[in-house]
Amino acid sequence: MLLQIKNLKVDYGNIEVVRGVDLYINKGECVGIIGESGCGKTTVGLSITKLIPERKGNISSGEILLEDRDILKLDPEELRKIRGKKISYVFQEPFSSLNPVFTIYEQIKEVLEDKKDTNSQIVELFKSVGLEKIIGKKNIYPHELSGGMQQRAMIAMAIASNPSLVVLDEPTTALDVTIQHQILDLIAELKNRMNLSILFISHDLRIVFSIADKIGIMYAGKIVEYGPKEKISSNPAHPYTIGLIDSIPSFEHRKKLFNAIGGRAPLFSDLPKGCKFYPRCRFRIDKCLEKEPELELVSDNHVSRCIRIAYIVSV
Amino acid sequence: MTMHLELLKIDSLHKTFKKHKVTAVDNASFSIFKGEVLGLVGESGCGKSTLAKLILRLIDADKGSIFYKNKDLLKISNGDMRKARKDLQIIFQDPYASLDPSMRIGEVIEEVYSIHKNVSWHERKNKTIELLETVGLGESYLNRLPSELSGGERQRAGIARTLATDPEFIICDEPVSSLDISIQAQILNLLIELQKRKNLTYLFISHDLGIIASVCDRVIVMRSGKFVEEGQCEAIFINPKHDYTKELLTSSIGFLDKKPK
Repeated sequence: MLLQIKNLKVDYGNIEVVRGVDLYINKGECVGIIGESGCGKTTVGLSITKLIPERKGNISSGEILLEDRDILKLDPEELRKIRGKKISYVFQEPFSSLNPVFTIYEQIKEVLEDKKDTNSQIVELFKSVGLEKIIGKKNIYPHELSGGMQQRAMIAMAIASNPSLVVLDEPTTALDVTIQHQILDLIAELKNRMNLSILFISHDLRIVFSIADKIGIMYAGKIVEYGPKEKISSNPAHPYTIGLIDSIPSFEHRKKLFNAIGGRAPLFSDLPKGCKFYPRCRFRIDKCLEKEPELELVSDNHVSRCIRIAYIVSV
Repeated sequence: MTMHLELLKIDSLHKTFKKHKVTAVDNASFSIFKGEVLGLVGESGCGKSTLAKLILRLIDADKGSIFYKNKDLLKISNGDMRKARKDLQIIFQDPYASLDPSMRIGEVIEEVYSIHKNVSWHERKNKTIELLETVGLGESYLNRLPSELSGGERQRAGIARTLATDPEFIICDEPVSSLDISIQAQILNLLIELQKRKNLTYLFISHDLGIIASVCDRVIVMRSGKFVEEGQCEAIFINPKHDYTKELLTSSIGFLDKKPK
């Protein structure tokens, strides 16, 4: 097991937004987290290397074990050795992640561990992320690249240190579909070639299903369903997952109304009693209000936080 | 579906932004029929929003003509255009940016009536409430500020405002792009229902082929200011002719099958 997140809880000024998340990532595996805005998915990603600003948020409990070492217990100096090296990040907006006043070459050079012969290392990196066009062009600044190229540069920086884990947080959301497709192909290719372990965070089911091996669906600060992607896509066992899949616009949907999820996600300051999805659920019964369900086994490696699994799976 | 009346006919519409020497819309010609949903799909910067703005004369075209019910919108006075906008409306992408943050939702909608004067003063409030109910919000939203609404609710309020003039033709410019997927499905449902109930005509702009396929009858594929392919959705999506359309289709993950593989 490469990374184990156990019972992670994070609050922002007394409001708990990650309310007990468990997640495991094996070497060479891509785990996807799907959730809508404000469900806490980005906070989980940032918590992994304690990137949440201290004055804003606080990790109140939990363990994050990277190869059996608890990251949350490390001192700042040790953390610095992990951030961007053992665990690296790629965020949504490549342009705001890159420093506009340094050239791409300078920025990549900075993350290289081995400072000898940086040039040939950069050439190799550029080749592996499809940036052959700018090999040797040492004066290129971020603004001279397209969004897709910028994101390729970000990925080059993320893999430069041979990381154990790459956290990709909505890496293609700001990109056009054709570019998005290319970037996803690149990520999949790097994953296979370098045996990368990836945590892929996105709101877009279509994208996560195309790239992840295992998928966690997050709602109101907790994982509500988790399992191998084949099981989640062919046999979803949580009403929220079913609603999300029904909301995917597709050709098959021609001019028909969506079986959409009603209402809106609850505010963390005002969470409903019992199951947090109750107010929007199409399978709800009174018993759901009694207490928040635990994750129950659906089948091997497939769990759902719902007391009506048996019924849902049967219909 | 009755699609005989040619509601809007665009002929050789052209726009170049001179400063940047970009031809955003390059001799575009097409028609939209009454009660039809015409999709316009393309990637960012292909000129699809510019085309929308040209049609409503929010920016000036270089040349061409825009016939709405056989009247050339490019040849009428500004005053007449203002009146025509009662019939031609637009729903924007970002409900955060298109609502005045200092105005209450009720005021936003009532204002439309005071501008277009199509409803008497004492009827305004009732009409406003009726509209809020049509879009699934209801009377309790009258006195709320946009900041008190979620993204989906704001887009509903935006749609209510659009409907206030009782338009025949609505340009939906990426109406759900900034919304979460569950909310996106709700808003698409609302737009589909309204279209059917009121026999509205939409020009539906989106970069997402899945969305285009689920709401449109016909589609135009646009790239760098030019139309590369046009036809019935079924034809275009099942049997695309142009390489760019093919590329868009293969890039659209999980598009053809409902459940992602």
